[in-house]
Amino acid sequence: MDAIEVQQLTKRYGDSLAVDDLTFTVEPGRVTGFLGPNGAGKSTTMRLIMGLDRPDKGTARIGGRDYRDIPMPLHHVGALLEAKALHPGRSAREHLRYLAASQAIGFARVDELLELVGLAGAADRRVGGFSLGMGQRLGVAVALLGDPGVVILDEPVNGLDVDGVRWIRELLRSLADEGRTVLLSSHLLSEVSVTAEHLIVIQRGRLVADCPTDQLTADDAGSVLVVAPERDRLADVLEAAGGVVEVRDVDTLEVTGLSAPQVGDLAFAARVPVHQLTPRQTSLEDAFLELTESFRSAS
Amino acid sequence: MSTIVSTSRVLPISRPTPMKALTPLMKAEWIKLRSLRSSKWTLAAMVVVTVGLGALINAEVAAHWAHASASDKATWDPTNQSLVGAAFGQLAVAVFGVLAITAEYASGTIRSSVAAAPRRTPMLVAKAVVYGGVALVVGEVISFASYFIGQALLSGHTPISHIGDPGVIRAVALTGAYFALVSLMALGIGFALRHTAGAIASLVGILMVLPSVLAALPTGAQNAVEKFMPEQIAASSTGAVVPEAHYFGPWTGFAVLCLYATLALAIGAWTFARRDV
Repeated sequence: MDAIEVQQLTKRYGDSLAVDDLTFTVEPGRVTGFLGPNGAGKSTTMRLIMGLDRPDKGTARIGGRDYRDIPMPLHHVGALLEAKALHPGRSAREHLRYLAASQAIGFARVDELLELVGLAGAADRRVGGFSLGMGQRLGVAVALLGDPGVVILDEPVNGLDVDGVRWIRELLRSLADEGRTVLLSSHLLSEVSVTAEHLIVIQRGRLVADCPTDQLTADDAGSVLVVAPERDRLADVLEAAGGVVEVRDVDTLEVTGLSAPQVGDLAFAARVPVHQLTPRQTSLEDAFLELTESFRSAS
Repeated sequence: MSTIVSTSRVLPISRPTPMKALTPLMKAEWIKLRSLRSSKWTLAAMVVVTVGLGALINAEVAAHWAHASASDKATWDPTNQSLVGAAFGQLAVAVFGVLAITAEYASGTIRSSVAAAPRRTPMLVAKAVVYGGVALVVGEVISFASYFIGQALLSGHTPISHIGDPGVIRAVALTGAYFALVSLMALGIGFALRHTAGAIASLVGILMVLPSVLAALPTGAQNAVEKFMPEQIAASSTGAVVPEAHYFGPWTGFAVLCLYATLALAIGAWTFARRDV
């Protein structure tokens, strides 16, 4: 299956750099999360990959080819770029049919997909009356129409209910398990951390992180908050044991490098009274925020 | 999840020849056209306005023939008179051509369409063939209908023409073709401007306003310029059996109209291929 290779991709809209010298590769066989706050340039990057916008510099290739050089591209790449990029007066079936016809795909495939995304009952209704969630389901059907090896989904979870979210997670996993390349964008880490094995994080159009999902959490393994009246004596004990200690209050320390049980045991052994012991697991969300925040202040 | 994998047969993909690439895109455009109410409504308006208003005007002309001036009677062209509704129907077909593309921009469908045809120009060509083709068929039908209804209404009041008379079939058929050419000009302008209101305003300006502005010019200048106006070409060159002074002959006029349509489509294609969507 084809990889997506983005090389020094740059796109400027007027004075603002939407995408700034971005380089990354999306490998087949796994779900790659594409993360960044709203306005970070995720959608623009995806539009550049899909040949909808022209880059000012750099390239975006799929299986070594520019999207524009792929004849009948929906057989190779399927995308959900935004919900409801659809004429409100056309039915879901007609929308899929015109796209199918443009790629020499039989209409049987259209019915199959309407069934798969759960829109068979609403297939002949005008999409103007669709909810956001139904629009997303139709978008997924569009993306999968040509049975593509590369699937690109921009914020597919938006507007989906709990069942819909679970459905799309399972779908994406199974697509990746079949060896396809899956790129999934979101501005919420919690949304993609469950599904994505790999993360590409951007902020202000620039690459912030390109790493396995668990590494992003391991980097910030969390800390332990300890309330102890003999603050400084405890600090000495913990530092001697290899912890990194920061003073938070007259009686409060924040410890990194040691787990909460370790801190408790060390304090007990040194006979230092402890009044509170709070493990602070940095959530993925915090890690993500920290990453983008530190990037923001650095630039 | 074996359902994800396609069970339907997909044609083998090799680098297609231009025509092979065009056929699926033309099918897609045909489905797009058929599946929207706006296309049907604009075509219905084109039929009703051209045939209906034409019939009303012709009935009026028939009723007042006795009071017509001698010069009017001398230059009387019953074929041209029966096709008078085209002056109104052209606006409907212009809207039809504009909406073919601006509705895609307004709704966002353009992104789906371009993702499916990223080279873009073939999509424009497919659209031109399908929408221009439909406008041609409908245009011919209503032109011939207008002609026969018109002759029937004029008959008994004014001299009339017969379909076999020299120049008559040409005048009627080229009036039908005029509708197709207007739809193509509209399509090209729609591709270039992308917004429905702007494109329709431009076309109303070109087809309706500009001719009345020219009417204010001194006669010499007017005669030199007016013959280039699309609406004047349809009314006085391609759709006329009795030749009119200061205007192109029918086939020159037709060539000029074809040039306009080609130019509009070329500008549309040039901008479409270069812009972000």
